[in-house]
Amino acid sequence: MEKDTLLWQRFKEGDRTAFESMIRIYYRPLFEYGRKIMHDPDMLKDCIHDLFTSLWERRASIGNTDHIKPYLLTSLRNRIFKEKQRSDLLVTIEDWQEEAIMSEDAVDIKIISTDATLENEHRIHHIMHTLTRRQQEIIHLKFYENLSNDEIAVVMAISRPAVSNLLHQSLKLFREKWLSLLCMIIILFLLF
Amino acid sequence: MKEYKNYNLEDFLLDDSFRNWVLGEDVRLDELWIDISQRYPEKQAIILQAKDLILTWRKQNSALTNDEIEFQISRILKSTEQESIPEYKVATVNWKWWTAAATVVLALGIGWLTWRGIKPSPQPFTYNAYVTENPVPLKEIVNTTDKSLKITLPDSSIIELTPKSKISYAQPFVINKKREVFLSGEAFFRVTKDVQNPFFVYANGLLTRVVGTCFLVKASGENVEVLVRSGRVSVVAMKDVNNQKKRNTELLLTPNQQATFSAKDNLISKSIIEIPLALVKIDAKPDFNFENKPISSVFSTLEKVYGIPFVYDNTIMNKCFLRVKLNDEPFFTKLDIICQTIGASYRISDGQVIITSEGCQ
Repeated sequence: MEKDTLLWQRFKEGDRTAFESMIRIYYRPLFEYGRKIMHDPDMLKDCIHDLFTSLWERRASIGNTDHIKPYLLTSLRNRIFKEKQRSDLLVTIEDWQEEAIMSEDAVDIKIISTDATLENEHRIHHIMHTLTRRQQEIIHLKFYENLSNDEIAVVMAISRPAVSNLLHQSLKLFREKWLSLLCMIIILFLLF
Repeated sequence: MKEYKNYNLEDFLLDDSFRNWVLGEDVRLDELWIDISQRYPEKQAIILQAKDLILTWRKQNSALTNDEIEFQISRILKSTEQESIPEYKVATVNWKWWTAAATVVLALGIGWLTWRGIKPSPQPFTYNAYVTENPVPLKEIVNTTDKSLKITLPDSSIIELTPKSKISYAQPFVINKKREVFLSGEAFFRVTKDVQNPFFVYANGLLTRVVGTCFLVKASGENVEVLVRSGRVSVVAMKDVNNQKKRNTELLLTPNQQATFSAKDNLISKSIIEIPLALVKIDAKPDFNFENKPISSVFSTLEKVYGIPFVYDNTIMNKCFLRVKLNDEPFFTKLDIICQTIGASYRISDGQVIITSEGCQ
């Protein structure tokens, strides 16, 4: 992507506007992705903050890229995993931040409802939450971030065949769960 | 043309052209896919499901607001701006400048000289004790001038050292994944973020661990005080640092909270700083114009703007509504006005505002 190459080039030369527009473009995608692999939104914001500040500090020495998004997603992913490893060092702080997490994962959804159109979205979210983190992550990268399989391979640090394999597996699992849920709803609907 | 009759849900989902059509990114695809769905009527249900899924997955489901993004962007820009600012003035002058950055003001209780005057025997957690007992050679910097002295640490963190104050740090600076600075007197710290190597400030009997970026450490008066502007900071009494069982004495401070450390009895207590400042950035002015708002939403606005937790009984107060227009009054003035209006009272405990009310009619 030529646009990316240019923006990246300007940023590397120390262009503040280019830097700012880069943050503006990629903040939300980074955050949405980060939420798939990190619970605490405040920690995540810190991670993204650190990601960009260290990028700025190292701007002169980092290589060229024509795909900024996968590059940033990869850096964020590495950063989050490092942050998790570090957690034993700042145990108290992590503990303190755990509070908010619980409520979010308690998926409180009325699965059985007759109002199909309204509840469809809830059902989709519900099934998403029954998948593993990795399966959720790959679906997010494919469908929300709209990455190609090659790019996903880079971000998740797995081979390209592994990407299409995992992707297929996750979607198949999703389909099966979804269909059985829909069947159940229909049966219940017919019964009552 | 591809064999769509064998397409299942996954195949549709993973078809680039199908995805682009659903997302409306290419209008030229309209014809193609409308044609396909007509040609394979038995696939229509699956196509609808696939569309549903793609559209749902595309939705932003984290509750990140645009305001929050703007705030985070300006935070990043400010942190990266620092290196290009050649001279940094005293903290109070640039107070607003720091609103986004983490600022800790640490007022240190015992000027160490007076301390030594009172107690001639060496204390375990004094500056001299830290410096002489440190196993590695330290570099000491004393500000003998009458102006504040700017020091750049090896990790590119910057310290503004007030006159008659001194700091020491190890060389090399990072040892055992820690960056440690020993302080006597008063200093303003702007710490370069490095999550791998946390930053510690030892000031008398109190250890301050920096999670945020900027803070002021002051040594005067009788107690050690830590005042947090924003960001996260933890403080712990030195005597408890190596005692795992007592680690719960470690206090975490959030914006506008303050810890007071008494060296005499080694106790830390949490409170609210004297003049809490709004945490929201200046150009996004918070709206304090409450037009018949339920009291819970008033408190939650204050909680958000000042970052101070409110504790109250919503079942008693759920009939309390507030119609009042507030502006730039200090936090406690606002609190007074609100409490007087709804006939409630408040007290501060453990860094929180506790509201007492008998309810409203």
